Amino acid sequence: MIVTAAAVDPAHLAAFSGAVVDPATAAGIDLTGCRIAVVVTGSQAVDLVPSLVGRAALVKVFQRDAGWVVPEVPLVGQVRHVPCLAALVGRAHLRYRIRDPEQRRQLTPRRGRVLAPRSSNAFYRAIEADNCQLISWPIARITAHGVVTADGIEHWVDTIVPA
Amino acid sequence: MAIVLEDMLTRIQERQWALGDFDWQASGANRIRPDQREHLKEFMADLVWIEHVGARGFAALADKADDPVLGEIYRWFHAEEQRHANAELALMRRWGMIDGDDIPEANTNIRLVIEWLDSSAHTLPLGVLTTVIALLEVALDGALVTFLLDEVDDPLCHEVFARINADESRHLAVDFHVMELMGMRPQVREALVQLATLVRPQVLVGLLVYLPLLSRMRDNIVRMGLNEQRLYQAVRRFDEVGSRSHHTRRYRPYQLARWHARMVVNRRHPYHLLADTLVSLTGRIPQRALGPLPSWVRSLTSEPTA
Repeated sequence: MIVTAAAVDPAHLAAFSGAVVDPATAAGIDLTGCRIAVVVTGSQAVDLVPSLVGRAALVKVFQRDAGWVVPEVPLVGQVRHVPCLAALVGRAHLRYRIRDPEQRRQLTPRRGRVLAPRSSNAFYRAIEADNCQLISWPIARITAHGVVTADGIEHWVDTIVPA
Repeated sequence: MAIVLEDMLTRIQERQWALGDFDWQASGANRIRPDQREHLKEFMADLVWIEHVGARGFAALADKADDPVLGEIYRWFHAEEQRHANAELALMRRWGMIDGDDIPEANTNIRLVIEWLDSSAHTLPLGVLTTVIALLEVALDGALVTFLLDEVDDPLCHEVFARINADESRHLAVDFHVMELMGMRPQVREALVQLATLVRPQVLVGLLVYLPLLSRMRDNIVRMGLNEQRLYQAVRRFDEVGSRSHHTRRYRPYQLARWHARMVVNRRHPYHLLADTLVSLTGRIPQRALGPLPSWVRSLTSEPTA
């Protein structure tokens, strides 16, 4: 079963005093030096996060649910269309690319909550970048300053990208 | 004891709080007496680690739950236990017991439990892990926190623990609900599953790690002045709440946990010969033999904002 995380409620985003950027237009906006929260609600983040990490001062990726990410190599990339192969190749890709066991746990899809498989060579590299943080705590609320997670911490950002 | 999990999930989501909801600079921090500072520091450090370890237990439960709503509840509980550990760290920082983003050192028994959770928590069936967590939460809620609030006069400490206790009561409601559901299953089949679990090497190692931890903590807190009667009361509460349901009462891991808890609180019980030996043996393990702490420990913080 493929499900996506619940979409970020626009009513909640209204509390945020910074910019809310549509992922489709993020490429055309100057985000240099910004602190960005990418609230992952689907598998678009796989394409978006690497481009943001290259430009922003800090990117916080709020991702509760994960999907398999297979390498973008001719033929191999196509296995994303076959769920059992995507899981097999995706797991090996994750093991090879991500050194930290806790990050691997965060990026491993859970039973019943799997985002659509994607192919990318840049996503895991971006997640491991010094200016990128992967946060898998549930989001408790959006405030004027940023995102409050259920571990009680308010993450201050100036831009939110629901992706 | 039956609860509607969907309603519980909504209630959990509605009652979220954050470290930023408290004024950590408010007056009252100086009400910690100099004579209680050292013991209180050790007590709080143990509390932080127990919450953090509990958080990891809920993470394992979240992966095990077949019911997606229960899995989602456990994911929130995982974060909530982490929040409790963060809030307790913030109190330690307020009282000048730690600096900046320091984390108190974990004793050998905590380190062993962390290592075991990291590698083998998935080997325990959902019901068994739930029972252990419920027992620890009853002890935490009924004995440790009550003791702390009697001893500490800082109003902010009382405010923070009022929120923590409200969370814990929801955790307990779900724990006992799950035990009740487990007690409804055919018990002969369940007994075979439990027996098969018990002979797994990881589970036996888990027992050798869990027993001395509990004993060491029991002795630590009694040394700090906790009246042993409080521990008896906590176990009695575990007994009373579980006994309200016929199904929970017949669930073997619950019966075992209750029997074990009764022995732990009774210092004159011969069980302590075994437990004390294990405490002594684990105390001889050199820190360097334990290896580095897993990276999830780095997620602890006393900073309300990041």
